[in-house]
Amino acid sequence: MSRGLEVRDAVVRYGTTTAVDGVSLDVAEGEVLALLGPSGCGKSSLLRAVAGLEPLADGSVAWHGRDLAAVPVHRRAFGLLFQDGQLFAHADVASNVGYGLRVAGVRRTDREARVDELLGLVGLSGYGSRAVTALSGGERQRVALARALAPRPRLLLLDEPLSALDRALRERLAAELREILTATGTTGIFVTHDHDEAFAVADRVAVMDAGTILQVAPPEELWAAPVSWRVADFLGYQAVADVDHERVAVGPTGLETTVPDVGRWVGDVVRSVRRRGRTEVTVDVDLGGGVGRYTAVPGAELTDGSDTSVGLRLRADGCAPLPAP
Amino acid sequence: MRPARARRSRPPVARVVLWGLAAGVPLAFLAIFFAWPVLALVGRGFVTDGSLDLSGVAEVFGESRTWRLLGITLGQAVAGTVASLVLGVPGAYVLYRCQFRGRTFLRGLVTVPFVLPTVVVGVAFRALLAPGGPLAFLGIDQTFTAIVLALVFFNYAVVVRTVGGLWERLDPRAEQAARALGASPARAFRTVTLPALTPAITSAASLVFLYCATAFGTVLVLGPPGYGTIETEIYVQTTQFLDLRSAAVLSVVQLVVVAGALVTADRTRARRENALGLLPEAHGGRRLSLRADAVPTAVTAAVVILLLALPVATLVTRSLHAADGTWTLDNYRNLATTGGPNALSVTVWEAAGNSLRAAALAALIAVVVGGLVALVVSRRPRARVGRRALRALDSVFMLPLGVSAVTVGFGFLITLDRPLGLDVDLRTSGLLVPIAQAVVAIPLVVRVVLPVLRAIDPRLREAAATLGAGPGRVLATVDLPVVLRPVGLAVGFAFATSLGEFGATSFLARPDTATLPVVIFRLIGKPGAENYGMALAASVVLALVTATVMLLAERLRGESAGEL
Repeated sequence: MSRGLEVRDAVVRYGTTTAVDGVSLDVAEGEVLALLGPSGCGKSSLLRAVAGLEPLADGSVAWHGRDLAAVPVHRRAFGLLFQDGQLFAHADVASNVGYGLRVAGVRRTDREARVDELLGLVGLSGYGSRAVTALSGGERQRVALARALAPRPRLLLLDEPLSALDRALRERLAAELREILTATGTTGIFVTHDHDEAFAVADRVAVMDAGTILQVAPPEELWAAPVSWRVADFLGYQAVADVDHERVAVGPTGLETTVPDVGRWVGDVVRSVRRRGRTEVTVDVDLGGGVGRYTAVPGAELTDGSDTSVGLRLRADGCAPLPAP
Repeated sequence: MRPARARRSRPPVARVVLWGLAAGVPLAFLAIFFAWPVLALVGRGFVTDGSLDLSGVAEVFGESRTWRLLGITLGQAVAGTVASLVLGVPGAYVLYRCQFRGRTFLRGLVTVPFVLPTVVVGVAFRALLAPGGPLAFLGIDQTFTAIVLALVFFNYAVVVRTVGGLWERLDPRAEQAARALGASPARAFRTVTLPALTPAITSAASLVFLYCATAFGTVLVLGPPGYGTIETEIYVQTTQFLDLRSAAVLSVVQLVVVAGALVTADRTRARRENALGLLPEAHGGRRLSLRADAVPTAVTAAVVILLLALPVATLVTRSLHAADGTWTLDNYRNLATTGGPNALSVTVWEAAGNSLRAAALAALIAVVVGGLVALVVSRRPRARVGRRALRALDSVFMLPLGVSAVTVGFGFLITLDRPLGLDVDLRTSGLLVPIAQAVVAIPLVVRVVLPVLRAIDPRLREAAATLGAGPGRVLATVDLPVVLRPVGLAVGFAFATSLGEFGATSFLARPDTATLPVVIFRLIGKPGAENYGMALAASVVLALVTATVMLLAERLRGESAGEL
């Protein structure tokens, strides 16, 4: 008997459209898996099917080897965190966090202790009596996380929990989320369309597109060896280059400028800007599939930035080989 | 900490049965107390000796009187609707888009006429326009104009609230963008704001049209002798000429007219519910500027003072005067009597007691049945068949809005002597009046509660379910807290409507169980200054009770208030 979640050939349909098309997936106990994909790829539908909120048209979802088809949402003990928190507006912070405990019939004193513990964990100690309407977006998501964790769910499902927040907050919360999930030993599925977020939070990442899983691997491995250009594209690779008849995915820092006669290719500089303390050169160049506009890292040979025509070469640590299509 | 999960889930059969009951109880209620009586009455008009007989239709339409009545009904409804819109849209702007002191109070004040009993409004306008009244010089007492003015008095609030409710949530930046592109305020209003408001305006217009076309008490009290609409003609044909066939044909004609208005209202409502460019919450609007907003402010002030306040003020002062013009409380003292010779069988205070008892019972029935309907209709079943069924259920429960209350009342009389073959004569049990009033109030309850239930994000219920709450628990902890205040508002609405209900009650109330509106109508129909004075005083009492109930209920209205 396997421990943890087992999804086998899951199919979710809405009318005639198929949102999830035969997905199989395992999440081991204590592991956090990210479901990464563009909007509309079926990742949220898969998550809802695991939670029991959407019926499976085919396939199965099992926990510890036991099929969950007959188990309704509220008996699965799977927590769910929505993108916009979905806090109960008529209750204060503590009642929100304690909701699942109250439903489970936990004694008042135990409940209060657990609520305090959770509020401490998400960095909101002393917020218990506040109205949820008075909270900022980030605070709301922290409360929603505390609420979902309070009944100690066997599995926590996170549906783009950070997407509604601004970037700085998103990055900080992603790191905190990882710490909290690790500290509590929570098994989780984290749905996101942001590869940085997926890498920051998850032990393994499943890349999903058009209702199917393209690849599942730990972040390092995924980054080093995407199985297809489609996967590489989601991970933020900017181009496919043709190097001695081998296909290579070029990452955001995979291209470097040099003097024209040294480079493998010659391109035209469009502009050069500084972003996050680093110079980025935008070039028009043909890497084998026609002229495209790409970003390159300035090489040591070029310093004044006044050149209009530059040589370009690959940087090994910014590229990954692609299997033949 | 977590409870054992071994318990099997409740079989879906139980849930199907529960939801079936929730939908079945209201449907059974509607079938027995609405469909059956109305169909029975209509049937009497079209069935002779067990076979279909359409000669009544030809006969009714062969009379020029029918066409005249139809013309008057449509003319009255169109005039009332147009006037309500022309006056109401500026009112919506001033009361929902501008800030000034006393705005909340004024918003409550313009709502009061909507729930005032039709008979009371009739009496108030008579007091205003009849010889001796402050506006007698206009010479419009008992004319078409007087009726239209009274209809606007009622329906002004419908326009102001429906249009204002949308207007205050309209994103002002669209209009600001138009201004920045060089449009004058008038042009920006015409090209940006007005199109955005159109769904609300059409929706309000169809409702007002409906109310104007089926107005009964007002027309009966204010109309000149011989004046009639389809609604009053149904009453006349059934009670005076006992010509059920003509009455039945007219009921069907009215149903067709009203169904047209309802279909339009429903279409625009659907469009309004997914309207774009709305803010999640109402914004306060900007300060009222007497110069820039001169026209809407003047129109609104004139309406509030002349059309809304003056009739009510006249009613109150006239009720405090004796026939010779001296101040007196005699009219109120007389409320403890049965009026002049042969006027009434009960004292007015006893009638007031009857009214309160009947209205309380009616409100209870309306909230239980209407609440169940709203609950069932607010669900979003996965299957398309289920969604279609719910839409049908929603429309079916709006039907009582469109069927003449007179038809309902008379239908009760001919069917409920032995309901379902049971040996209980509901006609003598005293239950008929509250049941008929509940039938009229149910659509209002649904319209108040349903939008609030629909506005609950389904993911909120899902969040509760993933935290371990079963379906019943979700209802109790997610839906119930949100819906408590609107339900309170709905109780108030149902109670106030029932207090003032006249059309059906006038058929069903026996002399000793007469309600206040029935007693008032009887009093103004009897000669004698004493009877007239009592009618005025009783009207003031009824208006006071209704308005108080309504203003109390209004305090329960949350931000997510329903329609109406």
